[in-house]
Amino acid sequence: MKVKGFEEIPHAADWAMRVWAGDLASLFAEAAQGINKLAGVKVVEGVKTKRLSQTEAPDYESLLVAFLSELIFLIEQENLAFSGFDIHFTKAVNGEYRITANLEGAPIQFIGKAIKAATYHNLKISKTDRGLEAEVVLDV
Amino acid sequence: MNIKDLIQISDYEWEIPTSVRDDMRVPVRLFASRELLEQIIGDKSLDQAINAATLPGLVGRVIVMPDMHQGYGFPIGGVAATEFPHGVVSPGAIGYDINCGVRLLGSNIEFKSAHNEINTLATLLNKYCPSGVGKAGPLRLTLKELDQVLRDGSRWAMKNGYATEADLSRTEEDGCLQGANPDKISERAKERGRAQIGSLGAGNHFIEVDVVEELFDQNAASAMGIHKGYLTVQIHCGSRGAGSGTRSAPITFSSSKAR
Repeated sequence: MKVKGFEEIPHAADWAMRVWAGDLASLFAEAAQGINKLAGVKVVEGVKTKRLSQTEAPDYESLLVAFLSELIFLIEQENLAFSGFDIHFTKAVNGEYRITANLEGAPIQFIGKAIKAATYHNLKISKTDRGLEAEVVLDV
Repeated sequence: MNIKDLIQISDYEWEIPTSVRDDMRVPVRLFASRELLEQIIGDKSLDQAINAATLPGLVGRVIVMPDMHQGYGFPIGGVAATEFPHGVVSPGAIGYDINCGVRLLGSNIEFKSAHNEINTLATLLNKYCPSGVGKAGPLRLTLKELDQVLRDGSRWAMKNGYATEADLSRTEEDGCLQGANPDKISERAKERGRAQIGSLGAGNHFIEVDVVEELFDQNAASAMGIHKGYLTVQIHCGSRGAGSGTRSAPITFSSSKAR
């Protein structure tokens, strides 16, 4: 059994994926990898770029949506895709959860089908025998 | 849900009565052929329509169109009206695209004179109508100019030569909602949208060239400039990155308040 991973699951009109990992940071990273895979992203080889992403949200599900939304924005607006993630979680002064992610990636050479948004639909990060698991619906 | 649970009103109209579930406040009216309905029953869209019928403050019925399919809590193709002060604003009902629209463009091009040029027409439409998620349109606006678009809507298009008075009079609310306030939209949403004016988008957005085969109401067709045997163009677009970005903020707010 794979320790972490993602798989596409059937959805009537959009895309959905199931993501699992042993810890929260890895779950977020796998969800990000899932977006790249589903969209068919191919990056320019030999060129690397780094970004720091930081965002806050009232709970971890909202934080996952915010994190994936940031990556979708970078794909759409800056033509950059990220596959290396160093993720940390802290609490913000206002009590919300904060994600700080050092991203490593590259310019996109080709994208099969871009994703418009990560949704909250039926989103729940649950504890399972695989660690943590979530199903994410993506608006395309 | 089974077709037997529905009341057939006509060949293309069905109703889910409030007796189907105790918490329904209003009935659901569906527009579909029996053949379509048999396909629709395969997903959760009818359950979602029933769920929608439990919302507070509904005015009239929940209506579901022939393109109904499973959505984000509310079926795609579903329509409902809620009334202040007891009615809710439902992010699920709106979905992730706001202000998408469909327009039908009539023409004075007869199919029989154009049928040899249809491939050329398709090629030119593909060339001059940018499509794809994130794909930019032909215009490059500043954020200040985008604010004008957001505030003035189709009137901005008319002022800049992209629309006529006739276009506005054939658009819902003359293409502009009173009280539109671009200050309420995030910079992020505006950044996503400002290069996309005049682009088609992706997903279920489309431009489709049709031929009018049959008219069911000659007077209505004549009033709309639609003629049998002539070309029309259907266009579905809107929302784009600005709409998607604008939608996300209220959902985050609603989700946090709901917990």
